[in-house]
Amino acid sequence: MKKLTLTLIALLVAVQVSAQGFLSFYQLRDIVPQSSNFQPAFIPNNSFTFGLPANLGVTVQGDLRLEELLYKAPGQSDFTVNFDVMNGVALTTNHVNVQTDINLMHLAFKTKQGGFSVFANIRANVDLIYNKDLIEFLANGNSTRIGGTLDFSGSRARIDGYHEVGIGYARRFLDDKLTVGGRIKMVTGMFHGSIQENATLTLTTDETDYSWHVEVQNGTVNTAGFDMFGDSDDYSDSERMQYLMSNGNQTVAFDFGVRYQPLKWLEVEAAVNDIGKIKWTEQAKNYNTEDASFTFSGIDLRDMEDPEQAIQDSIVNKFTSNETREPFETTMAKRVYLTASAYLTPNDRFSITYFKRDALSGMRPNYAVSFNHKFDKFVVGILGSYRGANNEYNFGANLGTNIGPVQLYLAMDNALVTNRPEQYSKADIRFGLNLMFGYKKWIKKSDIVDLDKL
Amino acid sequence: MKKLLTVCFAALAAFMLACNVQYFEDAEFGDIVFDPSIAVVFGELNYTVSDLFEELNDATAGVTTNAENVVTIVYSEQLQSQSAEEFLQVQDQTFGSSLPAGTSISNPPATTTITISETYEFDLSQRGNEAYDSIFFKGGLFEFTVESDFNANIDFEATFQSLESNGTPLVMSGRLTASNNTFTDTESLANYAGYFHRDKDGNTTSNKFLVNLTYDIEVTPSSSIAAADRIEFNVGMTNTSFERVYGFIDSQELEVSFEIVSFDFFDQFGDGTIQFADPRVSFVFDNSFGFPLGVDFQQIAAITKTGQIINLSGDVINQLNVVARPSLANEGATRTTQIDLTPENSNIDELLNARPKRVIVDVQAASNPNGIPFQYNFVNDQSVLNVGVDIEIPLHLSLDELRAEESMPFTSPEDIDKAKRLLLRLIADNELPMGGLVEIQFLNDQGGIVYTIDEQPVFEAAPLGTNGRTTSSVRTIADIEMESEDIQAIKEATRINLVVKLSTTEVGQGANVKFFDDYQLKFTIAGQLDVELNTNGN
Repeated sequence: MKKLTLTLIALLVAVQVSAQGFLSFYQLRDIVPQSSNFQPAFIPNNSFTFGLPANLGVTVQGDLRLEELLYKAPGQSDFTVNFDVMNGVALTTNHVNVQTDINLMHLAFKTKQGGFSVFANIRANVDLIYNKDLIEFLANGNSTRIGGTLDFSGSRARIDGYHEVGIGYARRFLDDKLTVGGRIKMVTGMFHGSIQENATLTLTTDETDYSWHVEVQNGTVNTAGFDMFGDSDDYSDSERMQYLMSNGNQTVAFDFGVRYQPLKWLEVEAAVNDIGKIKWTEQAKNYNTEDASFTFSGIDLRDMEDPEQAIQDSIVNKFTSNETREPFETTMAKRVYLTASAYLTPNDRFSITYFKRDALSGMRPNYAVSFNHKFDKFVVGILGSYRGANNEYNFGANLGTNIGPVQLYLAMDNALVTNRPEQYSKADIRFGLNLMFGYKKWIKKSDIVDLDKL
Repeated sequence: MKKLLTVCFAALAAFMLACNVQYFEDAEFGDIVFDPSIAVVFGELNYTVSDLFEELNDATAGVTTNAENVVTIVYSEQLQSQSAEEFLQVQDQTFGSSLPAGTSISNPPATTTITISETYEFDLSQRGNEAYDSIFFKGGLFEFTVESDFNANIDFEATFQSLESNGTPLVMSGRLTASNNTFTDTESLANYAGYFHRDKDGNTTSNKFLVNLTYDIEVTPSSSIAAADRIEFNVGMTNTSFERVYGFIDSQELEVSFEIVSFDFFDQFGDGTIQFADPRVSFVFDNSFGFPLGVDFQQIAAITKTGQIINLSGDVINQLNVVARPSLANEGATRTTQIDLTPENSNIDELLNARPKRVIVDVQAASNPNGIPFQYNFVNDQSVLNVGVDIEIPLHLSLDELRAEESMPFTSPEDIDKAKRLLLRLIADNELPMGGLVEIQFLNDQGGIVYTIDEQPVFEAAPLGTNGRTTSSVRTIADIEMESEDIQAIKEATRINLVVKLSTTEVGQGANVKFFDDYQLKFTIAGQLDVELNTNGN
């Protein structure tokens, strides 16, 4: 029990840090109705599905291992964040992603030509890109770049929270070789924070006198909704609840997917999800810093009563900042899945998957190779995923049942994370419970064995 | 179904068996520690030459520039001011005579009147060769006494020709009888002018007081007078004060006695040498008295911190130094005379190079000194002699490892514990022909040294051009590195003592350098500070 608790704590700690994936869960496909959140062309295998509000997915993914983030110095038992360690493993550009999906409700109806779904999800994402210079500054300050420039440009952060309610429909064509699916959903933004995409900040330290030349451009941070989550007495609980349920930060978004099976053993799939933009009009705040280019050469130290304060004032006064409440628009973090599958047998599938999520520009794709075997009442699979040279290979597994009426599923992109999770830079788990009815109707007659006759 | 259960069981067993979270066991989250090294420029200290010496000076001296724009240290001190009344008092005057009848008459048949008249010329009392031509009195008492030994009635009139008021001489008259034979009268001398520049014959002279006495003798048939019978009179002028005096006051001393000029400026200098090339001590006499003064430098001496006394010597001691007077036409004006002590006429440079603690000044001045042509004198009650001393030390000098100390309060920064290493960079851009080795001492409450930053060159002297000016600014970068234990050591410090050894350009070759007022010394203070901050605020 202690191990389990610690495992969960480790996962939760990781959630505070990074995420992106659900590659293993994707491989459960038609078995699990919630997979239509990723590929709208998936059609469940049963007539009716009622997804319990116990479907949860969390992905945490970064460019550094947990032991590099939660560092334990030799001989020490306590964790700390050691920027020197982080700097030692930092790439030119580093990513941290966290994605949390809670499926509140999922209803799916299978028809002769396809299927309908009605769904409601809460989703929260944290995406962070930091470059080498930023982490180097945190670790070493600017003393290692005397005479050079620390360029923090390209370091970005974005945090989103929203819920979505929608309907989906998928239909087969061309003798079931082609399946096209689409979903339309009403998205309501709950909170958001982001640094303007083209914001730049550089710090050049003079090699002789250590004066700073600072250049700032497009220094805007847009936020919305955070006031609702603070301890402020400005809002009552009912006002908060009203805001969370419905507010002006709404948009209509779309998911599209297609599957095509040109050959009996070959299937290709493509899905583009979260197509839409949210215009944040309610609870919007903008923290703006005017473009600036200045050199801080210190202060006049003669007749100065409080030099420390004067230095602070002198630097701060170089920036002209203001706070506005202008609406702003954000593009939803589009998710693209591309998959090619080879069926070795009707129950054995070998797949290659490409996944990319565009919360911030420059985010790297994930690649996965997976194998799934379908048994009579369940499907199991294994998966290997790759995120780039700096990250370890991850081995995942998935399991989904279709024994009806209760379906349990579990998918992990990194199934080994329970064994010394500190070695890994990714944790991904998705599990859930569905009530599923009407399997037999969709099983071919030839596949049904009449036990009475036997 | 069996397969499912088998797979589930196998997966769960593998999951649990493989579970190893030892890394997280018994672990807690410690503080997040930031330990960056920040390189930053703190600021600049810009000094002109004047600024530098004003910093060194404790306000007893002024800093200015001379005609060559060389920065000059200036001391000014008013030594003495002497007014006319302190300097000159007119002596009390008394003089008298008698005037006999010169004829005898005995019981004339009818009353007979005889008139006797005489003009007298008295010399005013004087000191030495004093000679007054005129005195315009502001106060004093004039007294006239007459006594008769005639057995007859006398009607007399005395005209004091040397005393006038509004152009009219003072006249006193009266009657003496045999029974009332004395007469006394007084007059205030205020508003009277005494003219003593003519004798009774009308010739120009001085110090003469003229009185004309005329009297009528009324001889009745029943009375007689003898030739020897006479009238005796006395004139007195006492407790006089004057508005103006003209003439010659002879030689009278004004003592500019025993003054001390403090030289705190030199207090902060220790070992090493300083050589001033052309210092000057000027005594400035502002004289509105109408006579010249001869100045005698009785004693001028420098007393060093160690008590050594160096006396002024040289030609200025022996020569006649004359303070000029305003001309009679400029009566009321002030004439300024400056007497300079320079290395050319004295050893004043030796006195100042000794970095004196004090300078003793004892000067005597006397009116109408010997050796100069006669000059007509005048004094009025507004006349004054002010004596000041101006000491000008142009920074035309040489310094050879002159040690200077400057102490200042120090409070260690509040968050000094967070500093793990400090590299303090002092960048000096120096146009001055003077370099400095600096040692920094951190002192505790008891004055004990808790930490010392060893002596090192912080600013180097700029090279000299042929025109005496420096040719370029010289940059010196001094890095002072302090490790954690060093930083901790200065926590207890309450004062900083800067010990600087100053040397001028080419001092080894005996060169003197000039500090022009446009020279600047700029310090840029920067540093690399290794700090350790953690999330609990420590």
